[in-house]
Amino acid sequence: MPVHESDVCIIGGGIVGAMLAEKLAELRPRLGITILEAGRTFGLGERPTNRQRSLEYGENPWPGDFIHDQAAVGQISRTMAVGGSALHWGGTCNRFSEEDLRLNSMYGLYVDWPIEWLELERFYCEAERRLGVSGEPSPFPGDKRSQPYPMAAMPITWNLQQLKDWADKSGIPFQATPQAKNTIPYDGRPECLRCGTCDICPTGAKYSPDFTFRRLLAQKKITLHDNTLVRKLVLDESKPVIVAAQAVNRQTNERQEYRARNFVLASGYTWSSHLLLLSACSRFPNGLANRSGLVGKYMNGHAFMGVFVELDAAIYPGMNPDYGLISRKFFRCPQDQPYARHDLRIWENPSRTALRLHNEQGKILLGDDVIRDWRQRARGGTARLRAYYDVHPAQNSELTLDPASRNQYGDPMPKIEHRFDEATQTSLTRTKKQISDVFAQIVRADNAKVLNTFEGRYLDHPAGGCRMGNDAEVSVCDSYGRTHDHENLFVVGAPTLPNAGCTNGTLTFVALTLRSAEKIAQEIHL
Amino acid sequence: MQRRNFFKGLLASVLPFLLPRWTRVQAHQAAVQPVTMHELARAVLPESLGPKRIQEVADQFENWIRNYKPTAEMSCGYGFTREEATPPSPAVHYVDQLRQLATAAEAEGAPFTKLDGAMQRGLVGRALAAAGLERIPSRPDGKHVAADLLACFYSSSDGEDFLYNAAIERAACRGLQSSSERPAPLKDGV
Repeated sequence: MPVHESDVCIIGGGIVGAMLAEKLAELRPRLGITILEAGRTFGLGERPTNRQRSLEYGENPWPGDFIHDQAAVGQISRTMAVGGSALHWGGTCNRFSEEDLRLNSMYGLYVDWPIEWLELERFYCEAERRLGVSGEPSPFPGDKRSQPYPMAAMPITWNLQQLKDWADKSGIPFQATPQAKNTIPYDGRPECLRCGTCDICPTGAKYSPDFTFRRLLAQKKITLHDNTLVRKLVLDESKPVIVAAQAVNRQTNERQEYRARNFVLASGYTWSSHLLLLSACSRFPNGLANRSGLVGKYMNGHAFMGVFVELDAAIYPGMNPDYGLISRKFFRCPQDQPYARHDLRIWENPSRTALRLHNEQGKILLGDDVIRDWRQRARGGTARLRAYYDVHPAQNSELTLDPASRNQYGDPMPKIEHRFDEATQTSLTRTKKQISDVFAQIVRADNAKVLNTFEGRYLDHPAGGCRMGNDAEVSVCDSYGRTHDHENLFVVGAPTLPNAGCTNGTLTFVALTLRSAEKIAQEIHL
Repeated sequence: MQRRNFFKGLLASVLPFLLPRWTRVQAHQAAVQPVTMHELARAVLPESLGPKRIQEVADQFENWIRNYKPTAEMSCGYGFTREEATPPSPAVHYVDQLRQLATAAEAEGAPFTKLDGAMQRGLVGRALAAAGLERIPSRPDGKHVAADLLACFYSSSDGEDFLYNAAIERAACRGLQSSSERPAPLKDGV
């Protein structure tokens, strides 16, 4: 069996793996860094063709970005590839707020994070710089920044200006949503050309981790093995340290062994906990890093609800469909009021009123009649409003191994079931009512009309499974992601989050990872 | 065996679109000549597009059919994931449907092209109703060639611009500078 050796072995080739590798390579240039990714690599040259096929035929813009038999019940994205879910992402880079880290001390709810807000804020700035975030400052004092955004915000489109004019009448302030998209040439990537297909950016103006990996590979700073599925971490015979990752090359089916001084799980909220549970051994029968019994527990995310509205404005779908407005007004909840926190977003509605083939009188509509009929019915513009709201997990909000579902190697696949803690269950109705009232306030302000409402049936931007904390009895890793049970095993990104806040999580995953990178770089001995 | 028959049928139906026009004529000499895509396009697309654009849209649809890949991988989705592939070519029954239109026209006493626009649209409308179509689908789905031609056009960037009479150009990489401006009306509405 081929054996590969390095100083740091990063398992997972997504956004946090890329950021970790980049920063480690800067801080410790002589470090041998190996990245293992179960999925395939995409070439930059594939993007324009794949985009075109996706537009014309609805084909997957990232063909082969999932592994057929590597699937989890309850997982919201199947992407496994060099670049991870951030190949597809919309590029939204919202920060959490201090309240997310202080739920227990401020509101008597759930837990506090083992990290100070001001320290996290420093790493938010670094994450924004490395990803290349364009944005404008928030008007709320609680969102104070220590550094400006690296780039000015994307221009508000005609559509968004109409929607902002409308929403501003409610008295709720909206602003541009920060995006990891270049508004000027930045970090070797071009300015955004507004191609309108951010799920596959044909130019590279939107940050995606494959750029970082490509650059690190060209500089010979990392070794990257794609199509390499890690199946088990192996413990030293006497000490509680990890000595190897056992993997299989999915193309050749050849077994591989990766030995390293430090191992970092950067495999996202599903596969990080999964690998720890799969790696159970006689000394850790419940899985590695799992003396607390909390690996795979406290799986979290935020719930969401929204409305589609019709308003008296000229909206042209497709001007920049992934770009929207945000209000951070409800990120904070006064401590003397019932707890409810949420974000608030507005987008143009990308879908349009259907084209009919006959009218109510049964008249056939073809030729110019189709257009006349449609224009008569589709006079107003439509928009989508959505709120992510804060919910907290119960301990048994969990990822477990499902013996009924196995991959081709016989490994049980994960099953994720989200459950809320008691306080969340108690406040759920009230939170939803508050959000509905906010929607109504906006709609009412300019005589718009609600077309329909929706409620999310899954938790978005999921996280958890290896939550961080100072107490090894109630957490899996410390604030740097170092597991309490194994000094040379770290978990970074989404799995370490105790709770998922009430807005997109990627920037937070990256910020925490950059902090972990400093710790790993500082302590590793060559 | 079933699979072989399926592909044989599919080939027979799609082949006419892949071959030059003269070959198509030869292949169907004995039968009623199907209405051509250009003839259908002139009947169902908006006249205000103008004859040149109508012809181009028909050509683009034929091109779309030619480049269609059945069983191509689709995105697994977000939220509730599932593996999906593109369905068989929607063009499987197009030749039959175009021939049925020609037959229906002959029953009216003239070839399809000789009927006036209202009569042509009447025939197409009845065929669409028989296929259970009330709306133009968001993408061609094989229920009827006329609806799919319209779907292909109106789901395109050009089609959407035509609907809104505005140069949104959503499939183009348009740059950030113009994004704050209201999309300009199309020249002559086209």
